Amino acid sequence: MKKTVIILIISIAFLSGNAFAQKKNTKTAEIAIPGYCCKGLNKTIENTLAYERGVVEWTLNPEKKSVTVVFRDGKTTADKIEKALAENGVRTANHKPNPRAIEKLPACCQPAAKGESGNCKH
Amino acid sequence: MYYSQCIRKLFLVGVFLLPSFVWGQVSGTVSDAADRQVLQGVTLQWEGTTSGTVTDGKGFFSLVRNAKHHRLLVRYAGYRTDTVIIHSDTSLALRLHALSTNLKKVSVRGRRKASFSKMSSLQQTEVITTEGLRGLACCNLGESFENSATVDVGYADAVSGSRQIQMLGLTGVYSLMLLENVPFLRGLSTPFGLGYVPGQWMEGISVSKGVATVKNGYEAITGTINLEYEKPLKGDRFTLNLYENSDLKSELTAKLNHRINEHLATGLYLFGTYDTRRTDHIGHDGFADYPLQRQFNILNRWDYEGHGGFHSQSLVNYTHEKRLGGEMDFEESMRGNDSIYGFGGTTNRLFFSTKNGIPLNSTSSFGSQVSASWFRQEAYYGLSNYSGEEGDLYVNLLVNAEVSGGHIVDYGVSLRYRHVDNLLHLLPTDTSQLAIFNYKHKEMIPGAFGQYTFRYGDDFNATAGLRYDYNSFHRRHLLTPRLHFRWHIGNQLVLRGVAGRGFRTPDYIAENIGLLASGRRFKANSPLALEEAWNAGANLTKKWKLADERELTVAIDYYHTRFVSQTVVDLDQSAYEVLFYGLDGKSYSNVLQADINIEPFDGFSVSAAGKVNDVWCAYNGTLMRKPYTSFWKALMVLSYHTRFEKWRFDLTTQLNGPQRLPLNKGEMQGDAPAYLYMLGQVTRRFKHFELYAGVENITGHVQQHPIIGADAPFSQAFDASVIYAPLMGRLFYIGFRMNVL
Repeated sequence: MKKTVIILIISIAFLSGNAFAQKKNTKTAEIAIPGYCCKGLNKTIENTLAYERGVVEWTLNPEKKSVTVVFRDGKTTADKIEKALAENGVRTANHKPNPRAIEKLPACCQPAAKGESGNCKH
Repeated sequence: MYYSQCIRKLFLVGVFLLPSFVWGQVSGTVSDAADRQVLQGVTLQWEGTTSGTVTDGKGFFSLVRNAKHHRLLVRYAGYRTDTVIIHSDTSLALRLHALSTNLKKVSVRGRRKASFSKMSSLQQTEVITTEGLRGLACCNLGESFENSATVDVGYADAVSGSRQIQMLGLTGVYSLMLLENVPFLRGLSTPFGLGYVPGQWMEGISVSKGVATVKNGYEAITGTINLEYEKPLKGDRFTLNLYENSDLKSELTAKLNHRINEHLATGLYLFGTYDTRRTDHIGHDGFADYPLQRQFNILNRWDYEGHGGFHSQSLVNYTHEKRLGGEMDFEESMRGNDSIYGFGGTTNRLFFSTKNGIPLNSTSSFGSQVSASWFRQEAYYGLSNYSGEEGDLYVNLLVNAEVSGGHIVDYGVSLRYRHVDNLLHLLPTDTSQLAIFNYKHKEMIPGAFGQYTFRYGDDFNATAGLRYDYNSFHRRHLLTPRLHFRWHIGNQLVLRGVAGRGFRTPDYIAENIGLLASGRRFKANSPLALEEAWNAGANLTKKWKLADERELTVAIDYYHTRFVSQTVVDLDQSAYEVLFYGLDGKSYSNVLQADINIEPFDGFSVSAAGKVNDVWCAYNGTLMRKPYTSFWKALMVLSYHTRFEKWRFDLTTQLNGPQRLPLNKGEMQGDAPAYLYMLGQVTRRFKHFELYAGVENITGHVQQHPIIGADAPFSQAFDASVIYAPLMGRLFYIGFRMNVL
């Protein structure tokens, strides 16, 4: 019984230590998505981030047209994440989206992804 | 913290308005409601005026608001005209609903559902999506219907591995297999045809029940199966799929899509399968369970989408297949030897098709479909030799026009030329006399059709069509009337009905080639007449919206088919003979089916279905159940995926009811018992690839002795054509799939 308790305490300590370590090594970046049109784009953004190495968590900011990403430093960079988004058709500040991926976005999000403005007002 | 918002279901939303900052102006985009592709050349006009505009290549438009007129008409050929009432400056994202799918592609990409029944289609249609196909091993089309209660797939015999489908309780020859709305597998290609369609090439399958509209000819009596291959303009640049199963069967699929410019794209699709090992787990009778199969399949396609709505799709497909089966020690060089039984077959098939469509004006469009195919097959079953050759040329020209009041008129002409040469040297036993069947014919079928679609708002549409054809071989003038209606009663409750007549030229040898794997002698009254049947049915579908965009769908349908003239395949007069003769008496099928689809919670879906087949035919004056047709079938498909689909689990359970066996020389007589068949797969998705592993026939239930008289294959006691249960035991497989966007 005692042993179990000790193991439990150790593992909790280890886990929380790990969590601390994680927090220490993480960075937070706000990635601007100028092509953000409506929540139709959320699925593409989330599906990209979910499969990105080093991404810990994220928050979408539809009003600000951006996404706040928490990632592990050393495993990835904000630029890499931006690149991955662009590869899946999402236009970011520094990277042009993959034209084939744009075709797969909802129709209302396509013009904005191509950098054509004036049709997606929110 | 994860932030997730439910994505609005855009499919059923006709119009939604968004606020705008531009004053005095209306702008926006127009796209297809189903596949969300932007539409170019859509006319927008203020009702009662001549002022308006047309959308550009990106589906954009902008026009000045009209002080007096607020009703904006949105029109596009082949689509339902929409009216939007505008009282303020807005930016619009308009979606138009396609009227017919003939010139239009049914795109199912992006819809994260394994299968769904269409609410908006005229005919009762079940769509099996890419998602649905991903959850199955789907080496080929024959394995793609495991999750569908509508289509049944069964083996023809125990040596050739040939699989055949059934729809509405009748063999697949009475339905029509289309590739992107062009007739694809018919005539001699039918018996082994399901194997010519690699599962990974498809992006969707639409199964429509009951007679089709008159546009595609006088066939398609029990329904249509329309296959959609990947489109080079939209498909991923590169896709690779590797598959290996526990019987050491390897498969490779590769797809390359290249966009030459913004209008033109090409795709090159390859498929190969290679078997290295024969096994004898079933029956331990010295016969291979499954033949060695080697296939090479290549397809090249070109898609062009030009200015002014012109679009063109062309493809050429070559398939080469070799099969070797029979006794375990049989080699190809032993062909003709009467001490060891062997089966072998070589097939070559070339298929070409081109489809072109152009809008004539804002309310009408013209389309053409041209296809040509050449097919040659050489096969031997023991001492019997078969060769079949077929050439098929088909031209179909169609016009689709909207007339006043939103009603639609379709009309066109078609011409089909078909040449068939079957040669069968039948020697079922080493003591019998050689019988030679040489069945040759040429058919020239010119035809014309017209069809009127009456529409009352969005809720009711009815199509009445009539076609006239002349068949030069049968020397008959054929009139094919067909009627369809769809009524949205309200609250997502839809009633559909269909009735019509159909015809078909039977190819009795090719369609019953599995019977060559038996000691039965063939007796045919030739020439056999054109087959004729009437089909009618009704369907009721109700959809409920649940919380979180989930849905519950319940559908019930009943279809009746009655033959006026038919080629009867009589296996019941003698266990040593098969007789082919014209129907004298009744032949009909009644099929009742119910389907329920529900998503109890996000990521989990359940579909359950039940079906009753009541299929009877007069054999030599006695009305009997059609053999090898399950009296009933029950199906349950469970599918679960975790968030972002990182893990996916699929499990299918089929309960196949009893079926009547024809008179045979084996121990099993009368009705064969019901059996359970299960399959499951786990898929793990990574950033650029996915891995899958699965089991087919989980319970391992197989037919104990599929070959009757296996110890004397050249005697009358031999029969490998009595198949009523699975022929493959429990089978494990693993696979790898990757794609480059």
